[in-house]
Amino acid sequence: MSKLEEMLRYVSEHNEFYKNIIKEYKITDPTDISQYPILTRQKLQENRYNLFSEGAYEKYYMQRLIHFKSSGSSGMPVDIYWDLNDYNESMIETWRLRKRYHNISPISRKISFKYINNEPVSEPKKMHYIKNNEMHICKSCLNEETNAPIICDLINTFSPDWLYIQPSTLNRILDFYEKCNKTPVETIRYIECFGEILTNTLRKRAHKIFGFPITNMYGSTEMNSIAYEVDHNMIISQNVYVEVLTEHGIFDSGEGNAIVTNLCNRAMPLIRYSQGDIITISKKESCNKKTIDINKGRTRDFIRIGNKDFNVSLLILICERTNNAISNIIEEYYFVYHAKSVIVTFHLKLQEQYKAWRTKVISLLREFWILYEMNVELNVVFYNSYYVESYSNKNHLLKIEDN
Amino acid sequence: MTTETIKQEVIELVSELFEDKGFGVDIIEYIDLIDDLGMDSITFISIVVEVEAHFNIEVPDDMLLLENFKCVADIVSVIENELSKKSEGSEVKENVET
Repeated sequence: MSKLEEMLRYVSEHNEFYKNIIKEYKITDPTDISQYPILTRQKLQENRYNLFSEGAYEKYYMQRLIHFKSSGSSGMPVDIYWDLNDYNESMIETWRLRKRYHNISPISRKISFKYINNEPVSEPKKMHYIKNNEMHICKSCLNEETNAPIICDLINTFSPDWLYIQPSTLNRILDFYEKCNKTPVETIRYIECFGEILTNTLRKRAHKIFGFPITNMYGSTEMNSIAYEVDHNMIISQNVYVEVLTEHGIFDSGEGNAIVTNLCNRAMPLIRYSQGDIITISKKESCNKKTIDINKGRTRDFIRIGNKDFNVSLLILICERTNNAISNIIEEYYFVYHAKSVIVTFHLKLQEQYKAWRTKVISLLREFWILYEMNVELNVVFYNSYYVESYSNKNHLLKIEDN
Repeated sequence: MTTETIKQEVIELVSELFEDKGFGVDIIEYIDLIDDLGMDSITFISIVVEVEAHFNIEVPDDMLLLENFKCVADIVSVIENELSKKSEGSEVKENVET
């Protein structure tokens, strides 16, 4: 029996929520995933206590379950609960890959970034705390350029083995190192990005400063790891079973909305959960495994103009092609779609010494804009400071405004 | 690989992971890693990945329980089990090839 069939057998025998689903949808074979309906985020949050399997509610009541809350960047934060053994099982594969390819283990020295204080601070000791072998640096401190030397010193003095970091935060750290004319400490040998689209522009910039390629990890609070980058392929984790929802149905390959089943969480099983991302599943011959392409962002990262949908990945492509043509002088970018005036604005940050190239950049962008038949007005704005999306844990490359 | 060799290598691995707890190498063999050393998820996964890398095995999902790694003897037992499965597998392969 496959791991998927085992999980489906388990829920059919030990989980009231799914027993009811099996009755309601007249599922004839509980181990056949194709007969199960999609579990939406809203349904998950409304049923977060009904989703507990036998014995899990008692553990929840005795605070013996691990609890996670998602950021809500997709619109609604959700609460997820795990039994400790299931959680360890779901994490082990990612750690095996980190160990095998990068010699990184859970006890390796790590730096991550989170919101510790809501207001920026200037004292180093308030900007971070250390727990076991991990330093947590306050994200809001990155908004103040005057903190650049302090942050660089904190990182270098701690001498981590790796950084676990969102792409927008990594961009900021790179800004800081360049501004201070410092080099990252040599102990850093691995950087893993998560949570946001990782662009080629950022990959190249980080590789130039750190001297090694960045690894991308696709996952979620609900699922833990979904896919992990190995040799430029996002290999689907054995922790999950992934399908795509298209207008023609649900399939185990092709492009569509990510529908994910967790294969480890027995306390709070998530079967055919709508993840909210647009992905493409394919089997790569080079690695003989199923892989995911995640560069189309969230389901909300589309803009509809007339009768055509434009996805953020198309805007990224135009920006990346432009950047390639001008030797990667664009360091950072994001897009704003103004729905009422039907204008797309590219916000770009150029390398300091190339500000005089702005006209050239605009001209190239317009060429690619026409090449890709973008029948909407393009506007270009240049910025110097960090792109921050307030009250959110993540930065989205595409913002939609109604003005 | 003898049981004694495996045991000594496991003791060395575990004592490196729990270095900050102050237990001597000669004591590690006799203590409960959960109750006495406070093994949590992080250290449990660390032990698993280090053991897998060191002995070139993969612990199956149904054995990935904290209770199976409570002490050095438990860990040795898991390793021996996986090593013997591996050698049985390679014997079958040899027989098929011949």
